[in-house]
This record gives sequence, structure tokens and C-alpha cells, in this order.
Amino acid sequence: MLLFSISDYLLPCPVKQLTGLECPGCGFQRSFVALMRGDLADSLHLYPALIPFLFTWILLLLHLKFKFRNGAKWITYSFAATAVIVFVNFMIKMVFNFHTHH
Amino acid sequence: MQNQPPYNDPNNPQNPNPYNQQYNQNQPPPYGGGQNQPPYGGQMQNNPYGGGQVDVPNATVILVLGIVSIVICGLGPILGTIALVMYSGAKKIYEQNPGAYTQSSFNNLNAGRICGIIGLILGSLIWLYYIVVLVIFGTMMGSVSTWDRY
Repeated sequence: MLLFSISDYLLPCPVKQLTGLECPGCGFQRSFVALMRGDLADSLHLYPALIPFLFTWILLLLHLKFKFRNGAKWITYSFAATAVIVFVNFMIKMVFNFHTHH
Repeated sequence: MQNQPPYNDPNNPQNPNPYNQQYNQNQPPPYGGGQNQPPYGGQMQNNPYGGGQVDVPNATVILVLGIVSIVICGLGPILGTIALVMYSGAKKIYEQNPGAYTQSSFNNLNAGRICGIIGLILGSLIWLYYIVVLVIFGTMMGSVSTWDRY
């Protein structure tokens, strides 16, 4: 019940409203809702970086709690991978967006 | 009766003024004053972890800012810059007395810096892309049709 009520409180992206262009975070919330519903394919399609992002956060919280010896390094790698996925996904979306509109 | 003043004299060393004692215990030493103590030296005796070492100030905040910088709607360059500015401040405090801070928090500090740099660079590239699209393509398309179509 909690999961279905999340979709009533999603925040619209100000960048998209203002410019009509997607921002690098667009799709994040829809992807999260899809993941909570258990629809992994839909989640990955909407925002491929969601799962790496959540992984980085879980790693961060565990590291802050347990202070792993190489925790900071793992977080950096995990974040770098997430950032690359976010960036590539954003670029693909932008190019794809232009192609569909021309 | 005559030996007792009617008020608590803070300058009287024999006077057990609770406020005065608390003030002295919690007051951090001035910056650069005590070379053998970290700036937040007052916390050192109270810290149960790390054998007297304290965390670098803001290390966790910098790390979180660095990680968040990539996702939130185009704010990457801003959050990344905040993380880097906070990093340089925290690094200066750390360098005053490296031995006083936990290695773990110093590693977190550096990780936050790297994440902030990545967020700043990728976020700036995305902003650059927006500017190119909105300025060049926006004016071109504006002459043909309304921007609303896109």
C-alpha cells in the first residue's frame, strides 16, 4: 500500500518544465516506482543508473556505520560507475529525443 | 554573611560557578593558537572512538554532497563546487594537525573530493550541452516553428 502511494507524491522536474529538455535525473523517480513494483526491466529502461545509485548509497550508509578499511575507495568506484551510466544515459536520451522529433 | 557576595562573582577563582566551568570545558581553542591541539580539541576527550582521534569536520557531508551531485536536476556543478569548497576548508583544518583526525574520515574526505570533481565535470558538460541546444538550436528552430513543439 505504501509503494502505490509513492506515485502520488513524485516531484516534477523543474528543468524539464522550464526548458522541455530532460535533465540527467529525469526518470529516476519513475524508475524507483517501477523497481518498488518489482518491474526490473521497466526500472532499467526508465533510469539505468538507479540500481547503481542505490547501491552506492547502501554502500555509503554501511561504510559510515561499519567504517570499512577500503570503504571510501569502493564508494568512489561505485560512484564513478554510476556517474558514467548517468552521463551516457543522458546523452543517449538527448540524441534519441532529437531523432524522434526531426 | 559579610564574606559572601550577593551574586556569583565569575572572577573569583574559589567561586564554583557552574556556567563558568562549562564555558571553559566546551570552548574550543582559538584557531592557530594551540599548535598541539586540533581546532575542535574540546571534543577529543569526549570521543569514545579511535583512541582520541576525531573525524575530519564535514567529511561525511562532503562525501554525501559529492555523491548526490550527479543526479539532482542539473545541480551537479553547484553541489560539486560546494563539496570542493568545503573540502578545501576541511583539508586546511586537517593539515594543521593530521595526527588528530581518523584515517577513515580523511579517506571519506578525499572520496568526497573525487566524487565532487566527477559531478562537477559531468554536470558542467551537461550544462554546456543545454546552452548549445537552447542558444543555437533554440534560435534556429524558433524562426521555423515554436519551441513548444519540442
